[in-house]
Amino acid sequence: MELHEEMGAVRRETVLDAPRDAVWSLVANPEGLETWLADDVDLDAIEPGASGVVTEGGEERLVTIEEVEDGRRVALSWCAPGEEASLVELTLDDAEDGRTRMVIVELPLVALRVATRQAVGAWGTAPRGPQMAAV
Amino acid sequence: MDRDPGPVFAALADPTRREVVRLLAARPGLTASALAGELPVSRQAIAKHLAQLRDAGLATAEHAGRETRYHLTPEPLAGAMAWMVAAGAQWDTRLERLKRQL
Repeated sequence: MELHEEMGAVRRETVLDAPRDAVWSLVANPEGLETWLADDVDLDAIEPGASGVVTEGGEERLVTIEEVEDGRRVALSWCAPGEEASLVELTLDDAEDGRTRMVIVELPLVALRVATRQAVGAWGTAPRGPQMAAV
Repeated sequence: MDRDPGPVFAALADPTRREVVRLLAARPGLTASALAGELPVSRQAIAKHLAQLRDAGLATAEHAGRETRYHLTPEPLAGAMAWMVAAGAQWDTRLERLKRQL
């Protein structure tokens, strides 16, 4: 969605040479995430409401799992000290030849709040989850 | 990532304000009236948008006689761009690590 680019979201799309369930196993649990997302993923589970700390290159971020769509999508919010929180969405889809397309979007929360306010015409009337789904 | 890009993103999340930024980038020193003449919104609306851009540090006002002329301040935009570049580079690194796991 072009809104992302305009609002200053970071977006990455890549096709991974592995089936979706193999990629999902590296997304849907803290041990899997630790192999690539960050050096240390201190979370009990990847389920909505779970929160903890992610450490990468010595930088700690407070992280909260916002949404999980089994086998397909994880949305989380994270925030490094002194920085604006951002929302991260990892989405997996089947690609050709048994491969997996992964889309990553990171969006500063403040940009999402403004866009949401414009979309619904009032501050805070829309629930957070479906807004992220719309992104 | 030593600068908080939040206010800049908030200011740029509105399409009219992005148009104002685009016009000011092309023609520095435009007045609110001149901007209203270029965009399908009222001068009052433009004034509000300009105030928000000023609050975000993206624009400055220069009083010249009875006119107020507006200019862009590039530094906050550069800060927001720097955040995007830094965050994007981190995702590139993470994706490389992920590919090595598969």
